[in-house]
Amino acid sequence: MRVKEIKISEDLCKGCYLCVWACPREVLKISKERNRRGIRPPFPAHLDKCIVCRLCEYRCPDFAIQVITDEDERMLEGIRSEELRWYDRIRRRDELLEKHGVWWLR
Amino acid sequence: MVRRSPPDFAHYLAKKYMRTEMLPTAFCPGCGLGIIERAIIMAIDELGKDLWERTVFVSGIGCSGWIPVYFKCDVLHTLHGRALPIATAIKVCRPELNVVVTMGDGDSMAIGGNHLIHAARRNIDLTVVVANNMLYSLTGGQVAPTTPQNVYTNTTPYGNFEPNFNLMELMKAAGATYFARWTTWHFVQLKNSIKKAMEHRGFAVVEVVSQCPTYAGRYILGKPDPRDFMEWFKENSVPVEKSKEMSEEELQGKIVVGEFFKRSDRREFAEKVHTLIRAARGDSG
Ligand SMILES: Cc1ncc(C[n+]2csc(CCOP(=O)(O)OP(=O)(O)O)c2C)c(N)n1
Ligand code: SF4
Ligand code: SF4
Repeated sequence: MRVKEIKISEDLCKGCYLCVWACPREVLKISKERNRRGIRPPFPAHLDKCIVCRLCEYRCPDFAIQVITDEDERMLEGIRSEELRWYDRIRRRDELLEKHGVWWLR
Repeated sequence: MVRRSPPDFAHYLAKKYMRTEMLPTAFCPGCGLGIIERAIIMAIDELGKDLWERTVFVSGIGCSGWIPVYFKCDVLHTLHGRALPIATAIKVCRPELNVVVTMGDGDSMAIGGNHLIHAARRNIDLTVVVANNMLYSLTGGQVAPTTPQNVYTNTTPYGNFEPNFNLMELMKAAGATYFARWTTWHFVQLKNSIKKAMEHRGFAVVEVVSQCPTYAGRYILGKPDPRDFMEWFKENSVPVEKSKEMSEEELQGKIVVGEFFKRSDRREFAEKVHTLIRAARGDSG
């Protein structure tokens, strides 16, 4: 299995650096710049050294890092429609709430 | 604030099983509860979608009560220490459901200690994940029944002088039928134990020694860094087999990890109740 990409989410990373600590091959490094949430997120500096052991993923408490191989890409593609359906439901719920109000706030 | 569109991330387990509009979680950076969350959904993913559809999560109050709140399934966030009575009710009414309870150490052993031992005595088919972060964290780092000796906390300014609970001995004596203890460092073993606990018919307890960098880091370890906690878990955990050859003194300050016992000689509570109901009604089937 070969790694294609290591995705680190700007929205979810809280900057605990457990992934950097966990990696046996020192693939990940901490970036110098802060992002819009005030966090210096890690980034894959040596992607070619990654052995897809997924220790970084297992240590991340915030679901922010994902090592993506071909298989992972397929799985992500597979649940895409399910995810969109879930957000449609949320949007519909919000519309209903806006239209009818919330009974305990009326 | 609730999001209207998915956050930008690529974790397929989280996308499949979690309310991603609520992410990021409310936990502090580096908190072990997120790792437990991941272990639970990974265990369920391996056991199959069918199990997920009949799983109900019940949690108490505390940071650990927030573990199942992010799951895309039925969740009851109940009173402090009272998760087990509610889980018992669910299991007895609907025995086909897979009921998973997540509790903190204060939640399970201090205020809810009574419920824990009685649920174990009844041997009701629940999976209990106890997140042991060695103190009360949601309320700001007070002493818990699991706090190590001589530790200064918010409520022990002269150091903790109370001896603490060994949950394994307690559960063994009370009659639980499965017990495992791991730390968040032992991720794969933890996931496998949660899987076994879910498959086990009977009261199954998985204790997870988890890091709380914010309070336990400050009070117990002296270093509020989750990476130091992980190192500490790695160095101080002893497998059960090895611990049997070690003396009391050598085991001081160590965390004994492993699968402690699994029994199949006790009957399950919900099954007994339903057999009784059928007998009282006069059904033979
Ligand atoms: C009946 C009742 N008593 C006290 C409290 C206050 N309280 C809220 S959380 C908590 C401690 C929780 O500690 P623990 O169960 O260890 O969970 P953790 O936060 O460590 O995960 C306390 C005492 C409460 N909410 N309800
Ligand atoms: S999968 Fe393993 S080698 Fe690759 S970045 Fe993660 S920890 Fe490092
Ligand atoms: S206070 Fe401790 S247990 Fe609670 S979220 Fe923060 S790190 Fe986790």
